[in-house]
Amino acid sequence: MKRVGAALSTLFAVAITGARPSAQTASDGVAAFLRADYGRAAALLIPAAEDVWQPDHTAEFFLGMMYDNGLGVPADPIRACSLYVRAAGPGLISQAATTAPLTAAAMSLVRARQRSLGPEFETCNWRAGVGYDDAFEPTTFTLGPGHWVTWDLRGATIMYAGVEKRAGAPLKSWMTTAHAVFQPLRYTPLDSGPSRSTRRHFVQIAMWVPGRDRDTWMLRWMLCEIVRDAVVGVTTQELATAMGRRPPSAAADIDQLVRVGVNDSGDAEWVVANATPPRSGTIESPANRAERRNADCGNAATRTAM
Amino acid sequence: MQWNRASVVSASLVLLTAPVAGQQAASPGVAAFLAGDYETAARLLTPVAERSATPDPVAQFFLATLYDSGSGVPRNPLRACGLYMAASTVASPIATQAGEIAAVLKAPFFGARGPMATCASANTTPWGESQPAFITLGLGHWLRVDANGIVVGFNGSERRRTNAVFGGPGLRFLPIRYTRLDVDSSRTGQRHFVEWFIWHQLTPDVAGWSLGWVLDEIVGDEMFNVAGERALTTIEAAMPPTSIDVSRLVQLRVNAAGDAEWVMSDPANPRGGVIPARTPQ
Repeated sequence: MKRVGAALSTLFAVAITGARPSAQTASDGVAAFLRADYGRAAALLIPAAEDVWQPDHTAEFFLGMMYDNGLGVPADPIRACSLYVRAAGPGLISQAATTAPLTAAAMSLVRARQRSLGPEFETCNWRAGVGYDDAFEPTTFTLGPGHWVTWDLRGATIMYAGVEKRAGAPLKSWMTTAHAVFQPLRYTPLDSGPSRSTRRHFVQIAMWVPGRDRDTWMLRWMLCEIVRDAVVGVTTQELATAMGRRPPSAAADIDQLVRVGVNDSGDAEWVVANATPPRSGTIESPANRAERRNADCGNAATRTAM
Repeated sequence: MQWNRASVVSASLVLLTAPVAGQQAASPGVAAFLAGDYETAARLLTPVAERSATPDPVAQFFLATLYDSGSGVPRNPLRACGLYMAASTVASPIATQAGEIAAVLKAPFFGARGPMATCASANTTPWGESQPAFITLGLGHWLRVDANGIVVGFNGSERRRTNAVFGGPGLRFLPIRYTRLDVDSSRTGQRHFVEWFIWHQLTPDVAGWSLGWVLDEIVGDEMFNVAGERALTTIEAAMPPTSIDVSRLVQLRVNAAGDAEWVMSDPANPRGGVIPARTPQ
């Protein structure tokens, strides 16, 4: 994850100097690249290529070349490949007869990478969607003796009763939100039931995702429960909004925004603070949820999303 | 022996280890490219990329993307491939990727068409294609050769020839020769022939240049290939002559029986053939 940290700090540095991503900065960046002024090229091309709302495909193409050749940025063939995939995006999607010149070139480079990268091409392709600025930290939570979960950006691995199980594809698709910037994962154990004797295990996932309007962000929050060897989605809520090229760098205080706890009846519940209208829910017990035992985070999130 | 215009070039790639080329020459064309004005970009990039003793790899790269995508120029993957390959042979920040793209573009040619198509280095074999021409064959009947290829107009409709390759790496086209023959035996009365004369270096055992010849007949809105020769004549020289009297080499005429025929007056190997009449579909 060091790579992501480095990329983030580069982005912030650019944001502070106030460079506005636009076709003109992309053109200036390409000109700088061609006259071998790679430092200036990177400073101009990175914000234009990584513009969340309106990425410049020309900037993506030439920034890919810089990562490919280690010019002005550290050599990173996978990241270069992702930028080619994004630059080729219009052509890959539409298969249009008329293709912009750099789209065609990017498509050829993507084909070349499919051959040369082998299995790593999948990483390139997936990263092209999710981006490189996710700030996600893989985390392991110990839930009990011999019971733990390791969360990564592509899903979760659960150890239970001596067997390791992977919660893969649906969870991964939910985690794969373009340009999402994650907050640290939180593990919340709750002792529920009439006598508070039933230990339940919740994981809270919060991420800043781009809003529809430029320079707007939403703090998306998802509550998952680990039931033995399965990850079960409870709810997805939007907790906050923010303005800016990048989401707030300070950690969001999730505890101030949403409470996950046990009510007087002993039921687990979640409550969004200061929400109008109020937003809250009782989290049904694993037994009541039995018919949906195999539901996954992604499906549940779809059902309960606002 | 019939000879098709698209022919074999063994692309013996000369790897140059020149220093990074001065990319200043490409700048105006690149600026037009980045502004989205692809026609201007092609016009400015072409002399720097293809008609220079020291072609600029950056100009070649950008011009290649235009031919690859058909932006501002007619789409021409073969020419694009040659330009990409040329751009990959000189050290520059885009050299590695140019080589990769050339390899991708080359693959389908070699797979589908075999050695008929080639991706030749634009450094060693600049692209050549037929000069623009407009030939009136009759009322509402014409042949046009432009940058997009060959079009036959007939009775108010136009038909583009997609099967005719009218350009290629290392080719030097002479002006098109048009011949109209009044043929008694034919139902059509008038027959229309066009001949293409092309200097090339594709004859295996000839060190210099060979003059290729292709004879086509236009019937209605259709164009048929009648005959061809790889080498009407050859010349040992660095460059082919700028002009040559092709009427000394091959003639079209009506013979005693009233049939159209072509005659090659090569003293060592005189030959010719009657051209069977075709009727339009």
